[in-house]
Amino acid sequence: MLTVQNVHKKMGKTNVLTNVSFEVVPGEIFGFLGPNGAGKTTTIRIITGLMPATHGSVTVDGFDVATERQEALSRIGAIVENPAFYPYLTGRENLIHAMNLIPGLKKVDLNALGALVGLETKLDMKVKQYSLGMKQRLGIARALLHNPKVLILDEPTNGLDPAGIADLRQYLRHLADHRGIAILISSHLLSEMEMITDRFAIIDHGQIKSVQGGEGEPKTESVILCKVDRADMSEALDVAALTFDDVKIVQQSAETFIIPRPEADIPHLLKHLVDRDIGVYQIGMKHETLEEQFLKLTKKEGGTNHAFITSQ
Amino acid sequence: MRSLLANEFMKWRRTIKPLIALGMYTGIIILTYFIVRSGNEPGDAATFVNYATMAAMTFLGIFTIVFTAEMIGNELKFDTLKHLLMSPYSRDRILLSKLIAALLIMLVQFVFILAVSYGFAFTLDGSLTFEQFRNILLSVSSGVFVIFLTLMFSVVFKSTGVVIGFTVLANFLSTMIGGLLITWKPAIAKWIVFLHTDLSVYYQSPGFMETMDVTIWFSALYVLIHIIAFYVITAFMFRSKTFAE
Repeated sequence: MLTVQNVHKKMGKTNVLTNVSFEVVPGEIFGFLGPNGAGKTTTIRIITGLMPATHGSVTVDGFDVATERQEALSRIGAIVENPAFYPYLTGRENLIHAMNLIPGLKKVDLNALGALVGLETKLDMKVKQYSLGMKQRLGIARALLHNPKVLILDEPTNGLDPAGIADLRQYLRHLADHRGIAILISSHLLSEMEMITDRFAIIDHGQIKSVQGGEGEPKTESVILCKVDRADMSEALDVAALTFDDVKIVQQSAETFIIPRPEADIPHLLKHLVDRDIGVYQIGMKHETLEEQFLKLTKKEGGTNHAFITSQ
Repeated sequence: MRSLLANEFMKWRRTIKPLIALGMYTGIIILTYFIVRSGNEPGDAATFVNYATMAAMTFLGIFTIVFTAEMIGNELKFDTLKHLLMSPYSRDRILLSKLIAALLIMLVQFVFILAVSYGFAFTLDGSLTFEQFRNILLSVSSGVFVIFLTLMFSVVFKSTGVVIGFTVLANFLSTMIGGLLITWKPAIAKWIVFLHTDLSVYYQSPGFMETMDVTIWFSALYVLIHIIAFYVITAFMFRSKTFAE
C-alpha cells in the first residue's frame, strides 16, 4: 500500500536520508522509530509530498507521490509533527476546511466522525479552547475524513492521557483490522510502539538500521538467560562456550549470562550444565525490549546513547 | 478551486478584522458626511463622494495589505501551511486561490465603500457624474498592484509584520522619491512603477502625468508587466520552498 523505495535526500552537502526503503501493507500498523534528527520527519515530509526526494520513489496504492500527486495524496491522511489548526475557527469549521482540500470528497457526517474520536460535544468550540489531547483527536478525525488507505501519524499520543492512549491504540487496531488501512506511526514512546505496532523500522543518521517483526518473526530479539551459582560461573561459561561454539556469550552479572540462541536450545544447555554439577537457579528466554534494541541500534559513536531516550 | 476559495473566505470572515475594517469605512464616511454638511457652504453630493471615497480608500489600501499578508503569514504562524500543502491540490492552485480570494476580498470592501458613500450622497443636493464614478473605479488599480506585491513579500518573509512593513515602506519611499524626481528628472521618474498604480490620476491630476510624458496605456501596461513578474516570482518561490521550520 505504501512503498518507500531507495529514498535519498540531500540538503546542501548533507545526506539527510540514504537509501531509505520500507513497505507498509494494508491492515498493518508500522512503527517508525528514531532519535531526534534521525530523518523520521524528513521521510514523512517526503511521503506526504511536502518535500521532494533527491532520488528514489514513494508510492501510495501504486501512485507515485511525485508524479501522480493528486491520486497519491488523496489516499493519505496524516498528522505531521503536531496537529495544527486555525485557532479562531471551531473544530467543525476546521474539519470543513480540511474537507474542502480534498477534491471530489462527498459529504462527511462530521458529528459521527466527532463521536468516533470523542469530540461529539466539543466540535462547535473554537480550537483555541481545545487542550492538546483534544487537538490530537481532532487531528486524527481530520486525517480520517476522506477514508484514506494510508494513515500517517507523527507522535500521535502526544498530549493524550493514559486512557486516551489506550483508546487510540484500540481505535487504530480497529482501523487496521476492519478497514484495512495501512498505518505508519512515528513515535519516541517505545513502550507504546511495542504495544501498538505489527512491525517497525529503526532509523538513525538517515539510514534504516533494522526492520523487525515480519510474518512469524518476533518484533524484538530473544536470548537465553541463565542464572547460576556465583561459584560455578566460570565453569558455566566454559560449558556454554563448548555447547554453542559459534555464538558470543555475554556475562551480565556475577551470576547471569545470556546467549543469543533460540528457546529450543535450552534443554541441551541445561543438560550440559547439570551433567557438570553446576548449580542452575534459573534458565529461560529473555526478550529484548524495544527500548534495548533501539538503544543498541542507535548508539552513538563512543558508546553513549541519545540523551532523550534515557530520560523517558 | 471553488472549495479552496470557500476556505479562504471562511478564514477571513471568522476573524474580527473584517468587522473592524467595515466599521472604520462606515465611520470615516459618516465623519466626512457631517464635515461636508457642517461647512459654511455645505458641500454637494459630488464633493462628499469625492472626499468620502478618498478617505475610505486610504484605509482600504492599508487593510488590503494586512489581509493579503495574513493569507500566507497566518498559515505560517499557526503552522497550518503544511496541511494545505499536503492536500492533493497543487501548490499553484493553492496560491492562485489565495490571490483570487485577496482580490475578491478587496472588491467586496470596495463595493461596500461605494454603497455606503453613494447611499449617504443621495441625501445631499447636487448630481453625481459618471466621470467621478469612473475615477473611483480606476483608483482600484493601486489596490490590485498592492495585492500582488504583498503576496510576493509573503512567500519571502515569515513574519506578517515584516511583510506589511516592507510593502508600506516600498510604497511610501518609491512614491516620495518618485515625487521628487518628477520635478528634477521626470524622464527617470516615469520608470518608478508606484507612480503609475493609481490610474485615476490621469483624470484627477493630468498635469502630474503629463510632466512625465506618459499615457494611461503606458501606465496600465507598465503596471501589468510588474504584476505578472511579481506573480511569476511568487509562484516560483511558493512551488520550490519547503516551508519547513
